[in-house]
Amino acid sequence: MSGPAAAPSPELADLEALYDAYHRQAIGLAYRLLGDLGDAEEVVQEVFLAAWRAGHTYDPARGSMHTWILSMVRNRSIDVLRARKRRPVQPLAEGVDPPDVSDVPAEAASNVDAESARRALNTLPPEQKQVIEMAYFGGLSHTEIATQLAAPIGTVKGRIRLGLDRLRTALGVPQDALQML
Amino acid sequence: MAAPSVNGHTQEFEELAGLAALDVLDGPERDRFEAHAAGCERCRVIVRLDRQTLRGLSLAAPPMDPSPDFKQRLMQRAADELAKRQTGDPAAPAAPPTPAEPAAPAVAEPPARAPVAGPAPAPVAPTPLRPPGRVIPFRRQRAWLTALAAVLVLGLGSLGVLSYMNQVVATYSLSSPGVPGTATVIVHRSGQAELRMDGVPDPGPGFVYEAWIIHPGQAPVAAGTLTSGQGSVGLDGSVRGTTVAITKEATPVPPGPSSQPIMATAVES
Repeated sequence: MSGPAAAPSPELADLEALYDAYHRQAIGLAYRLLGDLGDAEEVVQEVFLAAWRAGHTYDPARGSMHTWILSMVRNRSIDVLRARKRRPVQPLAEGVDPPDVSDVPAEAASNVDAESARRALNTLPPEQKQVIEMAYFGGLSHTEIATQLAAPIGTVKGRIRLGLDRLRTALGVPQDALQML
Repeated sequence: MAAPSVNGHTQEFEELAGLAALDVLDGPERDRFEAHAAGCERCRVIVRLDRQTLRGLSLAAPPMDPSPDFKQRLMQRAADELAKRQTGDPAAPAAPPTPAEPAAPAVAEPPARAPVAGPAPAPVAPTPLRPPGRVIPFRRQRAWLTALAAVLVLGLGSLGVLSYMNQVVATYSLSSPGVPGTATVIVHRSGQAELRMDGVPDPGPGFVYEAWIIHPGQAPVAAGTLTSGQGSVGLDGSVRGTTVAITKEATPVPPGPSSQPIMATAVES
């Protein structure tokens, strides 16, 4: 009598399909965050392997996989940035969750293309764009941003809030859930 | 519309929600926000929407190509993992023993054999308990391992240096409103640069794309040609402080550009 059947190993072809579909954007994001191609490649390699180990496959109909991979790239890059600064790393619950295809608003956000994302970022007033970029692409906390800009912490918090609200609208993220509250 | 006050909800918590979505909230502020958000649906919704917004923002970074061997390294690592997984499968043949396993003496004596009547058997080589190749006197073994380590260190060191020098330190996009596709100047840490074209329509029969490096106040220097709108060409010499341009030229190519550039970019010095 044999034991329970082992789960089939994910095929290398699945990994290759994922890689071919998303690697340029993943490398671009990691490089933007880390400023070092070696570190960027290390992060991206780990993310693709993690996605592959979890059995995720490329499906052109599921844009959420794209943004999920990029979220993982961003989270791990932030970990690297924090390790460089010897800041304690806070585990990110979101980063380990699989993409949720049932999340309609998430799907809508995932349909954003690179051009509209850049355009949305450019709709922000410069002071809001600056703090959003420092936090999102630089992994800086609001207190670090305030120090770098020599601005009050409250001002930085307010700019980030306003910037996120504007971005949400510019990217077309449905806000029904918020308006009902 | 103003949010209903729930659990002491204030505008400040909405600001903290954004910081939580960006994952830059830590310390007592994080604890305070989490305690509040546990009972405040509005804050939880804001965090969710902000995270969706930020996922879209992840696309704003310009796409980039990795090192030429990156895909191969990734696939190799996955293949190694797959092989290990298959070896660990209980249904798979048992893996060969690891070097540390056998408890037999380092050098085995040939087994004692009783004399056998009849025709003399063919001479049988004594069977050691370990393969002969593994019996290396300790002193020689140490020297051999040292040599192996030195070779590995040299090899890895060279690879590391090559990888470091190959790192991309800057990219410059060439653009033109009327030309689809992209072209990018990629500058490596070593100072070498390349021009990569991606998705640009082919120049057509009898034509090529030609790259030019233009130093300030000097005539354009031909840097290479591409017969399609997809591929890359090395840019000789430093491109810092120059303008890199692409023209479409009829073959055979003339000594200088015969038309206006279809794309160009200035490279910082």
